[in-house]
Amino acid sequence: MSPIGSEYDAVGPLLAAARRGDAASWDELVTRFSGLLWATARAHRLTTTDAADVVQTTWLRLVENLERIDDPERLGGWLATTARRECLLVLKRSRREPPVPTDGVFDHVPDQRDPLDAGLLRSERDAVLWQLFEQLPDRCRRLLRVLVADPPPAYADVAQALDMPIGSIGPTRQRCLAQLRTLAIGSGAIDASDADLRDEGAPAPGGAR
Amino acid sequence: MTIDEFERRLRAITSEADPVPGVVLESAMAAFSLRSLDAELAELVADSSVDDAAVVTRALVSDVRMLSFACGDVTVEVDVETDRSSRSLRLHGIAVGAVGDVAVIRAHGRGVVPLANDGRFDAGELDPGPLRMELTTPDGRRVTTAWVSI
Repeated sequence: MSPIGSEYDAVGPLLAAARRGDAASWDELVTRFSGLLWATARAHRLTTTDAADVVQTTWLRLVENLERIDDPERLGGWLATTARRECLLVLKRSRREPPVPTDGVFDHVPDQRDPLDAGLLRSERDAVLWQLFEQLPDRCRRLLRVLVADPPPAYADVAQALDMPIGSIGPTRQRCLAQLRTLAIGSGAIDASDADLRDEGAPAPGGAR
Repeated sequence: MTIDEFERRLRAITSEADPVPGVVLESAMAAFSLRSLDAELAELVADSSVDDAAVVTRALVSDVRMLSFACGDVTVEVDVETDRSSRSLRLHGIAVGAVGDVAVIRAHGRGVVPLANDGRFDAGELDPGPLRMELTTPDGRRVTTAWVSI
């Protein structure tokens, strides 16, 4: 069973090929999991520069530990855990160190957390929804930010990214999406006729959810 | 709109508003070339930025982060100093069980600094970001520290 979904190749063969030195398989792993890692950093409210450092450090850690990952199906969880720990370190340091002037590779990446970001979004309604999303209570904002990573992460990996019990993800997701929906209807970001958030209930094919 | 459709719409919006920057993906792909197959790994065994409160207090005063790495007989102790006035980072340390030079490896380049007779080395001013160090033992084995983000 793939950890993400049936439309994706299994991680095991990619990891095995990367261990043998196959760069294309490594690139595929990077493509697969960087969205989860970026979302994990953003869920912790890191700046663009710090988030970039966390993602890069996480991948470098995997490079040095490629031989030590026993269960390839848990790679996503390993990466998410590594990223979360790095995020907590960054937050801890930033609370007591003066900001360091940065002159690194990632410093000229535009900071997408700027409020003007909403201007990047195509439609005004999307922009409103994005702002509402950012204003959700922290528990909801964190969870949804990781859940909407692209490609969609497995719940097991989300649990590792946020250090929360896997069993609480489904119910919390439900409540948080319902809360966001209520805000979105109130602000006109979605139509009231679209507001019937039926729960499809059954897990998605592939067993990821 | 089902709850899954609503989530998909949020995913589409998020992918547009806050995508993984291209340079981050490129750097992650390039990280593969930094694989060090023939070196033993010296794990991070202590980091004052996560360890006990007494050490944290000291770090608060001096703005020094102390890191320790170990692999068998090889240990590397480094101090990463944040200069409050210039706000720059300086890294220096002491290696036990190693000879020759220390290679300071960053995500986008590397530098080499000599080990003094007593094992001390000074990597000078550095930019923030991931870093590891590579050392050589007297019998020629290569040891690399774990990556840390300074």
